[in-house]
Amino acid sequence: MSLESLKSSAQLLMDLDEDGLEFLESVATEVVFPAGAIIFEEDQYADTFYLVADGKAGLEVVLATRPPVLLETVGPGEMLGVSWLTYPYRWAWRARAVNRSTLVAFDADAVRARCREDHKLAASVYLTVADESGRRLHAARVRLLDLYPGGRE
Amino acid sequence: MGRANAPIASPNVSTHVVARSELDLLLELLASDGYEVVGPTVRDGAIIYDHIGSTRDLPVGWTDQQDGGKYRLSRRDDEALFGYNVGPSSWKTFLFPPRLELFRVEQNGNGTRFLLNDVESPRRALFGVKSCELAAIAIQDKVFLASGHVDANYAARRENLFIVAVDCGTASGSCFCVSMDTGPGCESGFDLRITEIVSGDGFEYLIQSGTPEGASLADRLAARSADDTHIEARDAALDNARSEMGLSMDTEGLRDLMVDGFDHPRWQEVADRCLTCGNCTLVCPTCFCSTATDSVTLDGVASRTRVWDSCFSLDFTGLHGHPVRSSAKSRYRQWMTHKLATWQDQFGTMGCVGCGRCITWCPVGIDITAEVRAMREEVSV
Amino acid sequence: MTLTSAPEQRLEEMLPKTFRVIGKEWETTDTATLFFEDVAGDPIEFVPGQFMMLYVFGLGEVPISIAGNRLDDHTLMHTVRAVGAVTDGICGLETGDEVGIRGPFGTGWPLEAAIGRDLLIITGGIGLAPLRPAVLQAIDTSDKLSSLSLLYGARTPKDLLYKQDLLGWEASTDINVETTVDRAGFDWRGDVGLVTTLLPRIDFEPENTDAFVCGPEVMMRVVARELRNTGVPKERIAVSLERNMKCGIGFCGHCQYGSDFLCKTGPVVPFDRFERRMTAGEI
Repeated sequence: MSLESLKSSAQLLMDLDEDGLEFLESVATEVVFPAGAIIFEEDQYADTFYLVADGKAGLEVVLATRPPVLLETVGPGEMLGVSWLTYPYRWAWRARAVNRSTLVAFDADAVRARCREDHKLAASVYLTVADESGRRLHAARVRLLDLYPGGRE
Repeated sequence: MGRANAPIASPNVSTHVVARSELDLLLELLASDGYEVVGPTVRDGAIIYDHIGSTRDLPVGWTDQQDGGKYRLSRRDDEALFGYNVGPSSWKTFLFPPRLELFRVEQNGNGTRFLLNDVESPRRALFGVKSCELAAIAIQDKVFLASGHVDANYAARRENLFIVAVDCGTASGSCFCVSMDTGPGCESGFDLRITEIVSGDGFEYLIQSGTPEGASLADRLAARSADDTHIEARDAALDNARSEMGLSMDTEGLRDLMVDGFDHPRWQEVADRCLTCGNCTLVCPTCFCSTATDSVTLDGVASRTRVWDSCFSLDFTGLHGHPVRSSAKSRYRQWMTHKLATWQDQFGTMGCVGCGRCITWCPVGIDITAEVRAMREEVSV
Repeated sequence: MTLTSAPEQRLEEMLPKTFRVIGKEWETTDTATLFFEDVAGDPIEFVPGQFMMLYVFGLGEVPISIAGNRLDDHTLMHTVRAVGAVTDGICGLETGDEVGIRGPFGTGWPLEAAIGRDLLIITGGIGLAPLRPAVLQAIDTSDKLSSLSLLYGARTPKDLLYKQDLLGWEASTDINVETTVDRAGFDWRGDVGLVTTLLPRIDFEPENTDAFVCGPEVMMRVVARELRNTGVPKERIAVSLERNMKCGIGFCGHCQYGSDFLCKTGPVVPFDRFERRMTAGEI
């Protein structure tokens, strides 16, 4: 059900041909996380990757002396994390559902394995993730400038 | 750049010849007509503008040597009244004063009251205004009177102004009015125009009126009509000034040269010499930037005062405590680009009249004409 | 030489009128919204996007955008961040205190041009203040717009301005509101990330879109280019530029940005005309 809606909103699925789409569907499952639930842990092996179908999920970092900080949120149609695709296939940050969220989970091992054989699929997957990584890098650099004044602490 | 510096169409019309003594009479008549007369006079080793009462107050027999970063007075071998060039003063002091209180504020139990000062509109005569300075006044007129808003204080000071212009028979090592099409002869913007011409062992003075007010004053002088020899003498004087012109600037395509040359390496080169002291903007007869300062007297009256400002100061572009133009390079670039290029977009004229003050009074002798040449040479490589 | 002029009426442009503080609310720990009334009782007229010069007794004068509702012609609203002597003075004012105000000056947001089109209002930090009157006017005329969206980025949830307004706008069907911050803990239910990452959440037809963008200059460049990348014509993107305005009428020279006096041809300008200058630096 959720996968259907993603076909017209998630770049990864929009760019695929019939074969690719059929394959991804075969390794997809729908998962619902209640608000606050942890989706994956920092440095955990990425055996699964996720597209958000509904709700909002975020990457967070745990700090020693302060409460966890939310680094970035993603919403419907967007990919939760990009580090699943490249070596060492581990999540850089912890992910958590901000609101109750419906995610489509894909078998990351299967997708990576298939990409080694099927270069057409690989081109689509890598292009989407490269695009998304570039956008996130750009956004991170702009945010690095700490543009907006903050009130006195 | 409005005016061509061509010979005047009917040079004899309304041009008269008077003796030096009649210039004293002219000064007396101006004073008796209620004019406060200001003109060139020698003070502290320079020719500045201040109150004058007779031709004896003028820099009689003085001239100046000027070059990048250099200004010296010296004696002429004659007793000419106008044998010198522009000094550190400019007439903008009288129209756009260096300090001007804008308003006062009283705040007490009865509330806050903003009080305007009376606008001064003195009857003032500027005596000895050179052609480049007429051009500078015309430029400031555009800025303060014709840019969509009117500066009331400027307008009031301008309104009752009487201008006695004087042609240049000499030029300094920093002069380049010929390039800027602003001299050495005076063509418009004056009530009276004077040319000092050699006559035997001494001098005579051609007088031409530019306005009815000028003409009615000239009528009160003992004058005879100018003949061709007088007009030839005037042309000779102007030719002499042209031949002495120390500098030149090629103005062709200057706007685009500056604007397109934003990243030109020359800006850094000049910034390495520039002290960002702002002298050039203070002596410039067209620079119009100002800021305002606030004060409160001990009896609780606040006032806000407009003062000249310079685009070379760091505060000039302060935004939330940080300057927009922090490097010397960016500040010099702003000044020169504004003067020669963006000024044209803003006011339809260049902001430079070729008077050479910024060159003479630059402590390190930066020469705007040399900078333009450098921009051209290196761009075309 | 006699020049014709009317000095009497022109002097007023430099003379503040007395305004009285009728209310103050702290938006953040260093940013306050103040409400003023004209002591003389004259109505307040302005175009959203314009600014006023606020004079504090003995301290000086600063340009501040108008943040109030254009329909309320008895209340002048300004949101001010205390960053210097004069703005500290303004934020320190209390109800009943009097200041001098002159204006309005400058250009406004091109709302008329957006009629019949999708309107995106994108802002960051205190940039919401000059856009607030435009948001209110756009909501009033939302039936004439194809759609109306506000994307707002701030540093942290605590730094969001106009929290009551935001709640109301979020509940309104006349405007889509998306808010994001740069830093937040997990108690924040909104978004975290750059304001441009909110664009995919909004339904708009790029070639039929007008955008009003206000924030730090680099943010406006980034947003304008992201909009261009999605297909919004650059000439349909308006930005609000800020310089050290001192006089408001093009005489003092401080606000020059290339050949523009921003107090006259700005602060609201079309992005495409300024894009090159915004990237050059130290202009």
